[in-house]
Amino acid sequence: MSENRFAKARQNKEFTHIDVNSDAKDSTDSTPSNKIVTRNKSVVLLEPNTLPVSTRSRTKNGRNLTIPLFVEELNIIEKAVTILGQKSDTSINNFIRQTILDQCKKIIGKEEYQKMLSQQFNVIKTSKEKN
Amino acid sequence: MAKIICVANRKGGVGKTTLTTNLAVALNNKGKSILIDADEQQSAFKWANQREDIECITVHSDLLEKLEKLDKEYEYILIDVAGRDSTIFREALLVSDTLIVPTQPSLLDLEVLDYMQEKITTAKKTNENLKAYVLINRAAVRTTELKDAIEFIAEFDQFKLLKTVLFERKQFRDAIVESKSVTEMNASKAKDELNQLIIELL
Repeated sequence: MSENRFAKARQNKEFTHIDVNSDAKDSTDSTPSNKIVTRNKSVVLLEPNTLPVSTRSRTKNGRNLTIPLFVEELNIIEKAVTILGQKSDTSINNFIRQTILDQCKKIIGKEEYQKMLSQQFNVIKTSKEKN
Repeated sequence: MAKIICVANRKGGVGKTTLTTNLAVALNNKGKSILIDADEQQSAFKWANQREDIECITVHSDLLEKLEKLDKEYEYILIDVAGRDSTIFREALLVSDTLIVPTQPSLLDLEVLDYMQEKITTAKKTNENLKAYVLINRAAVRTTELKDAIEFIAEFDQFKLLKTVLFERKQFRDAIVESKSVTEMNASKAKDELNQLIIELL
């Protein structure tokens, strides 16, 4: 192997930084790319968030995570949310989001979690990637 | 220049750290070696800390920079990468000589190989010397699962399936608890299997 293997590796930022799974984002990646290629080959362009909390919307400005479920798995989630809904105002989306984020916080640690949470971006454009 | 060996799989619980700690002892016997624990759980680091002979550091950022510094000093660098996609995992692929992907022979574990193959294919455009091996690990004795897994893995052209199979054995768990390799413990099937793996790999 040639001696410049590290120099060659450093040049390949696209491989080491773009589309690294957001649920497994490395702690070193402190400056997220403005362009992300999703798993279904869509290109997502991002801009730093400047919107006030009252205006910022996950639906309009965020990204989606789609998870296939068996019917019985969804039934279980719905039942749990129904029970929770009797005690407090919640929804399936809120329940899934918060449960997963809580688990992520345990895995990546509070410090990294807060750091990543403070890096707010909004989706400004999506399109299919050209091959 | 060091030989860089990376143990990685996107899936957790496949026995990466157990394999890494056992390989660390084997490599240490072969030449000046260092173990890099790039998994936040730091299991390999804790294991190595109980020993005096294994050099081990944790790395959670700037892997390339750190590897470059170690490259001239050591004959072998062994990297234990966390069971998920990450910048460190991809950086390791770009500079490793050998990638070992331990996998259990179940369908849930084998499904991840698609993803691993895709990343290896991309990494090889930069690191054409990368050799990728799949090791069937924690296999159950007396099941047909193993035969099915071997056939499944044969479909992946980027991987060479290692002939050695490590079976699910208590000795591997005992060894890690005692901060040892199974090769340092009493005679056992686990010891035989690991010795066979070391011969096949090194």
